[in-house]
Amino acid sequence: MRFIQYLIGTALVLLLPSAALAAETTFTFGSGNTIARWVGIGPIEISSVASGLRVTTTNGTGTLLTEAPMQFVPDSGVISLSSKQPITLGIVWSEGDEGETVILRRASIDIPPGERQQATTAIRPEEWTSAATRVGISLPPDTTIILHELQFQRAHLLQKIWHGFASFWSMDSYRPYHINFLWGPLLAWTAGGRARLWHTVPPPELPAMLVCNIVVLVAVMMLLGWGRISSKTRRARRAAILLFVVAWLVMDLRMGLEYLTWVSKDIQWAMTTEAGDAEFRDRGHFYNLATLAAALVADRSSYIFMAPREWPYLGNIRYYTYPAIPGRLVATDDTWVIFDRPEMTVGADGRLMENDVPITIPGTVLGSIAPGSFVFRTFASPSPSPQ
Amino acid sequence: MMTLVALMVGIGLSASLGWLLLRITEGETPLLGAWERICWSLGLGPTFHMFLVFVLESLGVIRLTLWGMAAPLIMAVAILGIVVWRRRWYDASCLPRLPARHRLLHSLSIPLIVLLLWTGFKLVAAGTDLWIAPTVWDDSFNNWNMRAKVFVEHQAIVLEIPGGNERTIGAEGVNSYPPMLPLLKTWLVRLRGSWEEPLVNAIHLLWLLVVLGAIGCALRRMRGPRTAAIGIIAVTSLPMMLLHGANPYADMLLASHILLAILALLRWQESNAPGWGRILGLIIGLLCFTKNEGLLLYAPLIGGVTIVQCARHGRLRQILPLVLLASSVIVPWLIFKWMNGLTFGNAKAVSDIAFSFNQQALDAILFQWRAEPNFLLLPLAMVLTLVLRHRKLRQHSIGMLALTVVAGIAMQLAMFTMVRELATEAIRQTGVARGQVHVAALAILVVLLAWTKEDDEGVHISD
Repeated sequence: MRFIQYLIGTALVLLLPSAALAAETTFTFGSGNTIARWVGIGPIEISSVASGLRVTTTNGTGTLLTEAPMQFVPDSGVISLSSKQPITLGIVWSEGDEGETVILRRASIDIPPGERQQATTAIRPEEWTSAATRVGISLPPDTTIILHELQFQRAHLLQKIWHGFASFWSMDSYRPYHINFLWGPLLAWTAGGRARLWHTVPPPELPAMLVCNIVVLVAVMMLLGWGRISSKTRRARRAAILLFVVAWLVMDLRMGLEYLTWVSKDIQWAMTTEAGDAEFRDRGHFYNLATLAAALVADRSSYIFMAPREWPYLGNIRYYTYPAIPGRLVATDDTWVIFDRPEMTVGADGRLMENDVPITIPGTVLGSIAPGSFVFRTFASPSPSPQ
Repeated sequence: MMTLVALMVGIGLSASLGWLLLRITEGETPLLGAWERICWSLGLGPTFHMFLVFVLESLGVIRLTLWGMAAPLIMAVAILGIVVWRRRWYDASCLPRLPARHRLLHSLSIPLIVLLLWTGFKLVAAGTDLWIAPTVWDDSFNNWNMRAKVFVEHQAIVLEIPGGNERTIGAEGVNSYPPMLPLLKTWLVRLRGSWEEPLVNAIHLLWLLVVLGAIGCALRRMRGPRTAAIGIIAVTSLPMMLLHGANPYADMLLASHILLAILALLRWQESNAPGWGRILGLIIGLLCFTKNEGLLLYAPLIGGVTIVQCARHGRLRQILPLVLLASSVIVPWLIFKWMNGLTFGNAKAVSDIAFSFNQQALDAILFQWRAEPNFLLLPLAMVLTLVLRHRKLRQHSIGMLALTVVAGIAMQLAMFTMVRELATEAIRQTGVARGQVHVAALAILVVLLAWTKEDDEGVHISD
């Protein structure tokens, strides 16, 4: 009973002052909310609509700013908006008046298309200076959004602990460099930090493995030292070994679960029947195209291959289609294997086109996985078969 | 299903050759226990089979067809089998057996059983991923699998592969690697009758299982079933070990051979039976036929440790059979390299290497050890073991083992910080952790032997 009382007391001691340290400022847009305090800089137009603020940029980046009423340094920015296209915009803070605005910092935030999409980004407190007098957003050119809400937050202590715990158990995706090393669990202390996990390489967040190593080393040294001082050597060593084993098992569980999430995604890919929908790790639908192409160029010695970049696609498709070899012999090869090149299309006259400019004689699409990923063959004489 | 059958048959046939080879090399007295024998045969048999194929193909005696690759296997099994049969060396009752208390698997506790189930689950996941995932990694579609495809197409060991975009990769770079792994994939494809991605990739789990089996058998013999279980759980818990057992790279293949070589050396130290020296020589030779690092780094390291140990115990005369057996593999491979102008580096020619210390590379390596979970807390465990258990480590066999691990890591550290081309790899983190995969199982062995008592009687609490 006394232990429970101590526990409640400790929680209250932590909660009350830390709750006072939490903070939030929200800007809401829509009917009844004035836009008079918001100023546009650059090619930007704003108008109030029922559900929010319609913001449109034309031939340049536009910035929308208001005075910064916050008395705290935020650690996260949250935005809610509607957009027909996916966009990347910035939450900005600046100094200076209307005539001489200087953008101090910009925190990027990716928004998917749709109604009332919400996204969070991290604001690094060390980048927020006391000189910031105005906050807002910056939009890329040719963008139209309806802005519903903009919020700046700062988490209190228990929230930070929760975010740290949750970020430890957030899993990375299976990436090409994981055959060489792993970042492992990262510790992010804010909602914005958690939202940005794994977005940047190398990740700016604190590696949990570093914390684990330090904590275990210090704890083991302290236990061994206590054992010597108190002459309870055996008990101290037993405790140190137990601590080490528990830390190892926790990390094993975390990394094992991460690996299992990777395998489960691979299994989902293998069980997907629609080729165009099946995306494998960071390679999209490449392997569906490679399988299709391998069957279609089996009677060719070479073919033309186009992809967004050479690595890893050239070597990979060469492996899948061997002995047919990918190349650039446009004068002699009749088969084109195109991967993820949306500018490549087939015109009404059957010619392959790049940015609407014909580049081949008429032919036919032998197989297609998705827009910009297909196998095309001209009606010319085929290249020699494999030797 | 047929693909799985081809995989099992291919491994089984090669392993049977390994079984006979080990039995002959042991001599009159069998040295390996029953389970050890199976594990070591699985590890060494395929390598030896592919070495025979390599020699005969290089001499123009065979082509890489089904019967071409089966012929050396059949002949070697027949010859070795006749010897074993005539000398009645097949009698299982003569195999060394552990004391009764070491075979009591019911001494495992509930937590250990749960952890073993967790380990098994991860291994099943690894096997599943190998089976279903396409060939996505660089070294697979540029080296191991690609060269196998070329061998299959040409029915010969070809030292030129097409690079795409009108480029050709010649005798330098990936073609300088031993052809063991591409030959093994070619063998499996011949058995199956067609190229199947699951077939050529799933074989890679074999070497992680060999590592786990070898560690388990060694710890069961030296400590007991509980410590053996802990060793298997610990090795599988290392993320880099699991990833390399679950992907078509060659580092686990090399790691398995290094582990078997060190275990053979340990046993030779303990028992003084000459058969262990011969087995060690055989493994050192086969080690050089797996990856270039085997020849350049680990064979000299293990050979050096062996010579030192033999000199200490007045056994230098027993080195000769070891050298002869190792040379029987290394010399043909070196002659082949020389005749074909193959380089001697890890995809970089040794002759092109420049030396200068790189601080950034050292910082990158230290960051990996302290802040990345590639090997969980193993780096810290090794440091604490070396500091707190140094008295125990000075004991005969464990000290040699620890010295070998430390020397292996030190050599890698020196390479990555002093060789300019490799320093770039260290900074980009594209090679360091993979090098540590080669010795991680040995490090687990060092830690467990240093901290556990014999006969599974728990952990050392007092000195």
